[in-house]
Amino acid sequence: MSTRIDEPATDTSRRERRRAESELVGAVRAELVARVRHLVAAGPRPEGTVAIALGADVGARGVVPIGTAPLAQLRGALVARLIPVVLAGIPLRDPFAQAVSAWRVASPGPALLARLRALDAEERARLRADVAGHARTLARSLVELGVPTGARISQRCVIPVVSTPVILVDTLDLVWSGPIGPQLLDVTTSPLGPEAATLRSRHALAWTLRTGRVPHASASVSTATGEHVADDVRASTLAGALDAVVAQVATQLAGAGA
Amino acid sequence: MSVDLVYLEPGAVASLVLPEGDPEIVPPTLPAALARRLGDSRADRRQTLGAWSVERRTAPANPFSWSAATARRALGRGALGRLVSGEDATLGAALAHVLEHRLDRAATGYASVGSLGAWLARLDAPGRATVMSAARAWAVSVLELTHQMSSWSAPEADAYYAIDRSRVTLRGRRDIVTARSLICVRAGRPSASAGAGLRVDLLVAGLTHPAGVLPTQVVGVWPDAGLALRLRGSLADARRGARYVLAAAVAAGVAAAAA
Repeated sequence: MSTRIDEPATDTSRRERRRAESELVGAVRAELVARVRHLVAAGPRPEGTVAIALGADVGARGVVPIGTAPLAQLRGALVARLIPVVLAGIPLRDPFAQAVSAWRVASPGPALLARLRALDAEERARLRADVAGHARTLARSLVELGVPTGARISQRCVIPVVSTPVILVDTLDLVWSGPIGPQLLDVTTSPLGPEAATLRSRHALAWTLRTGRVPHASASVSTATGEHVADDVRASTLAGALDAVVAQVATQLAGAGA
Repeated sequence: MSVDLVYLEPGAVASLVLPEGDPEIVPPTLPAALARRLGDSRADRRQTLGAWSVERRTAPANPFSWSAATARRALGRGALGRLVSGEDATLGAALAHVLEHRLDRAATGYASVGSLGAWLARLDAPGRATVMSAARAWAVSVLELTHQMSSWSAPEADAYYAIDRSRVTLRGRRDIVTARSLICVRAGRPSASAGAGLRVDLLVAGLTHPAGVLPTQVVGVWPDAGLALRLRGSLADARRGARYVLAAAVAAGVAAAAA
């Protein structure tokens, strides 16, 4: 799996491309199911479903877990809520208040909402300034990256691995149709570290499994630094992500059976 | 009476709704039997039963409230209808018209307090942008499903069938309709009882058709999961749908369990 699927110009070559893409997607799906089934069969049958959060393993290794950095968690949630506001062309006059408005409509989890309510005046002022800074970078970045106003936001992937209790879970911040295929963008309020590349490939795998279409590119942008990295999605990208996800499934199944 | 599981990819849904076989007809005995079982229900208020109630077998844990997730289908479907009928040239324009219409109804007092229009009217610009972004994403997901589909329409509303002499209304989901098929778009992933839900959608489609004609296929699509389930529209499956409705009615306290 090392070829790149490029968009050819003619109808015939477009059909060929679609056929190659379909074969690649079929192979990825078949391999995922076979390997996960093998893992499930090898150990004790887990009770209930086993949800594999495609971003969580990265978090466990590189990012501070929920609960230990409440302000960072809130900042991330609020900045993400500003994406539709920016794309709608609404001026960011008070990004914190605007993000809270947008967040409430999106039904935030009660734990995070309670944490927002529990902030003291000092923490709230810090968060307000923080969100405003990230919002300015976000607005600039989305323009620079040419994200269209019709891009899809917060796309959920809840992908059952057929005939197993395993479900792959992911959320993609932004997806849009580029001239040569779907483009994915992950927006993070952290600087882009090595884990961002892992996350990009996992997002590409999730979108491939969800839609049967291989994304053209998977990108990350940091609202902390303005840095932006984009990877072309190749068959090898999906193969690498598949290996990592299967390893995560193995670890989680072992934990569930222990 | 089997349900086929299919992975989503471009053109996958179009291949599931090809006209196959002759449609079956709901006989008058079926709605009459439902009326007999549910006609003496003593529910204190009107109950709506559908795929959701059949699959969950319980009432929703929390009272309904509007959010981006609960509003996106109503708005997205309205926009798709305008787009497909040619009233608007782009999805963006169609969404803008649908929002404007809802807000107009709220402003002129035609929308009730708990309606979508009244809720949208109370939101500020960032809140509305969030809701409309969710509606657009939903509509784009549905449009993607119609890839390679030659002829289809987007109904303005679900199908409703009030059972005679009872306080029960059946609701059948429908997001895309072709000449003989019904496509229902669902959130999340298919549950173990998703087939039961599709049979209820099939039943309601037959009951609400003027001549009782059943769709030849009912396709449930779970875009988040990348999966679709196809149920061939047989009378036997519609009868099973009716049995699921009765069981849900018993679970909801609308009907007594059969002796």
